Amino acid sequence: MRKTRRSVAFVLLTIMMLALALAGCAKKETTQTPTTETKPTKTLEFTLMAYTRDRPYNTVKDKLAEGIQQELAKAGVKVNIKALPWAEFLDATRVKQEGDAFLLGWIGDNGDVDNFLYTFFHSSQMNGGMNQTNYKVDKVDQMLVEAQRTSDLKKRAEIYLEIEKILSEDAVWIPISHGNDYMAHTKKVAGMYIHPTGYLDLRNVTVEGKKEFIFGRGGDSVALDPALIEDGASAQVVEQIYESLYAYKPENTDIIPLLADGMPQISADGKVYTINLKKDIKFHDGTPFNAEAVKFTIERMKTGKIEEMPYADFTFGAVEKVEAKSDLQVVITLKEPVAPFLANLAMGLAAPIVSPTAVKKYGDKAGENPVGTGPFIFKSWAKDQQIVLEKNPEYWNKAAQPKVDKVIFKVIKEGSLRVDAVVKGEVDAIDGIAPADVKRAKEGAVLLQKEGMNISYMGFRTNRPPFDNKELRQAIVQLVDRSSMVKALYGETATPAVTYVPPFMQKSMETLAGKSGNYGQALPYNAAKGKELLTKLGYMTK
Amino acid sequence: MTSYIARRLLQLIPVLLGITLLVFVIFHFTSDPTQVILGMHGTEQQRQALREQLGLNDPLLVQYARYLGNAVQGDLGTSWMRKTSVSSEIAQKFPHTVELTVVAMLITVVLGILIGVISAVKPYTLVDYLSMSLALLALSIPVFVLGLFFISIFSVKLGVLPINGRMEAALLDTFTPPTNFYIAYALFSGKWAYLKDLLSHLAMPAVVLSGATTALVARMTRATMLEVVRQDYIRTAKAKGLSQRVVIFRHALKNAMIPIITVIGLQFGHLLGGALLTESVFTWPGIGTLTISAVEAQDLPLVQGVVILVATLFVVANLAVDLTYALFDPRIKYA
Repeated sequence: MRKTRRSVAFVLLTIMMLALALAGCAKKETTQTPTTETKPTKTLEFTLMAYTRDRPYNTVKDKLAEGIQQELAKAGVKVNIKALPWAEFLDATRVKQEGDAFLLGWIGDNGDVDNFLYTFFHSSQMNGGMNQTNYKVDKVDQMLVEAQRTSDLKKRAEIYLEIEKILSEDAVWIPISHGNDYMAHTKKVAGMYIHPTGYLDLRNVTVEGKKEFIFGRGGDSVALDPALIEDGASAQVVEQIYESLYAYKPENTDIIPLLADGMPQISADGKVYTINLKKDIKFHDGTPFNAEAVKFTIERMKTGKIEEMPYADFTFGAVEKVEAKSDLQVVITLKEPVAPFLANLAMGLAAPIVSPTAVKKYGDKAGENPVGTGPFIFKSWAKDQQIVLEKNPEYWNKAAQPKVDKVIFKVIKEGSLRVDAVVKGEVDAIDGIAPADVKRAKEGAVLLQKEGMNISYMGFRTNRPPFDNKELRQAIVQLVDRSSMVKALYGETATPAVTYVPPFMQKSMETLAGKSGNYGQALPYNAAKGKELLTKLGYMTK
Repeated sequence: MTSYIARRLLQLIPVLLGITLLVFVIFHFTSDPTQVILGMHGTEQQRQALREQLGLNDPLLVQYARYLGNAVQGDLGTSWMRKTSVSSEIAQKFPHTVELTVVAMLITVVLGILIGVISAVKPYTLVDYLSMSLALLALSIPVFVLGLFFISIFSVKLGVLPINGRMEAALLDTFTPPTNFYIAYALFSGKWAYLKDLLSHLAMPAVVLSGATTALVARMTRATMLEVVRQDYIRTAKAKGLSQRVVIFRHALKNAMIPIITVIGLQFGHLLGGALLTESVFTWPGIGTLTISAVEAQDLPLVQGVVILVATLFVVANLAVDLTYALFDPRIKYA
């Protein structure tokens, strides 16, 4: 009897749990587009490709597609979402060219506008590149190349602003948002800031009451050789050990000299860069930093294989030859005039100058035995646990001596625990704070926030129906209320996009060109106008 | 005996063939290695060149045969993500997982059997209901929930245990073990300060990891013990005036051990392959964490390596279980 009662209870419990599980799994129907068959007009319906992976520029994955679906449903446009895992998504959109429109985003590499606009809108970047809208306009092609060839910053800014104007008129994208970057540190820490490129400068960091700084992050570095890496977690550490010829200003991506002594002299044809080097700088192994080291670094990457050196081609692909004119002067000749090359020289990966002696000595193991000129020296690495660096007592830059004796990069995989760790003071600072944890980090620690060098967008396939029609694209762009959608999806953790490049770049260009007010911004939200265009094109609206 | 073991180990071959082929086929249809290796930057020409170089244009079976050929010679390839050799990557991570698993299984064996026996000796009492309900709870609660719950209590609220990781950062920096068997090294070289820190880091993951298996073993022990204690020879033993302890542990438990051993052995083999969620929650640098990052990065050679390890461990654990049967039941012989 007892047994029967017990088994009945078990069965009931199981049924209850199953029911709960089922209820949890049931997907809420987010939109319902009523089909009004009585009206004679046709409904606009298109397929939107979406990805199911968290990205720095889009932390809500394919929910973004649902947001757009809802916005457009208000006007009677039906969006069919096809959401795929990241790798399949890239294959489907890039190679197989599926979908009428797609969601994607970009994290800038070198802080140059060219890295956004040329990458997306030059016709040479079609067929497997990032120009997946298949946008091909001769005038824009010419202007993009012209901007690459001039090293006059003001002129470049003017050209890019004009290009943005054409892009808005052509409505190639819906620029959606820029994801914010977050870091948090304990109240004892001072001297930290977020750079838009993610460049981590720890020279000024102090921790009250101790000489050791522990930085918690979500993943370990892959390698510590600037030539071999492409991920942020590797770059973060490399940036402490190594330095490049140039660097970025702390607040934006304007270029300033680092190991170079002053800005380069660029020849009139834009091809020859003469760079003087700072003197009396030594690598951590005692090797002198000089023109030979620069030549070695660049030539090593020129001959490297792309599967080993992922950024070699991007950073130094334009270089024809490097000459050490004297001990402290290096001359770089480019195949073509490429103005963004200067920005490449400031990057935290690929561009940092390596000690030739160390690279030759360690060979295959160079990635685990980093030797640079930077403020910190590599000490130890327990893989997937932590990397320890020590202060470089002979750091050349007397004005920016590191303030802590030791930096530890510690892996804490789980995002919410990372926040716990900084709140508890188990680590001094963390990065990679998910939107859901922002509030907690703000309450328990000091939160740092900055618009990242990224953009999330929806692109139209401009080369085939239905979106080969410019007016139809304009209609769709104007039907999406980006600012309220972005607020609903991301709260404070993303900034609605107004232009085709991140706001700090836009601001920098506008200052240079003497223009203001988001010159060349994408078409603003205007539902009435959007519907009017739809009706004009023979589509039913609501 | 030896020939029996050899025959059983031969069974590993079809298992490994099947499972590696499966992973190969799944990856073939769901991921593009050139995307994984070259990322967003590669041009179509570079992708083509890489495809050629990796032999991705060959028929699937040719690619698979080539992989097998290398694997048989001990070359599991190079990780696409980490650019290091897969076997060295696994060799580095395995000790971390072994130490965690061994401790978790110790907890499982001691606690699981004890709870099971108590429940069986006093069936349908409060103790029995309480421990069996607890066991049901431990079995049904997802490990990451349990892990986060423990952390929020013991680390965040009470502050008695570290949040995660294997060792405190500053201590780890001065710790120089010859292998990644940290605990074994600290134990045998008498480095007590390190050992204390290691154990405080180990406590939560080990308990969390042992939760479900302890529950399973407890339930299994209870069920088989209940069967056994009803048998005549137990009544005879009791009638002879043997003490309760001797009857239960020497006569009853020994006979109930076979199914318990099966569960324990299989769980052991299973956990040695890396506890994905537990390791991930506690940033335990073992096979589980490695597997997750390999799958996330679609790193085929690394995933294959881990899969081979897991399958091998499982088959070996199975064999070990079968061999231990003879220890408990002398009637079982292997030839």
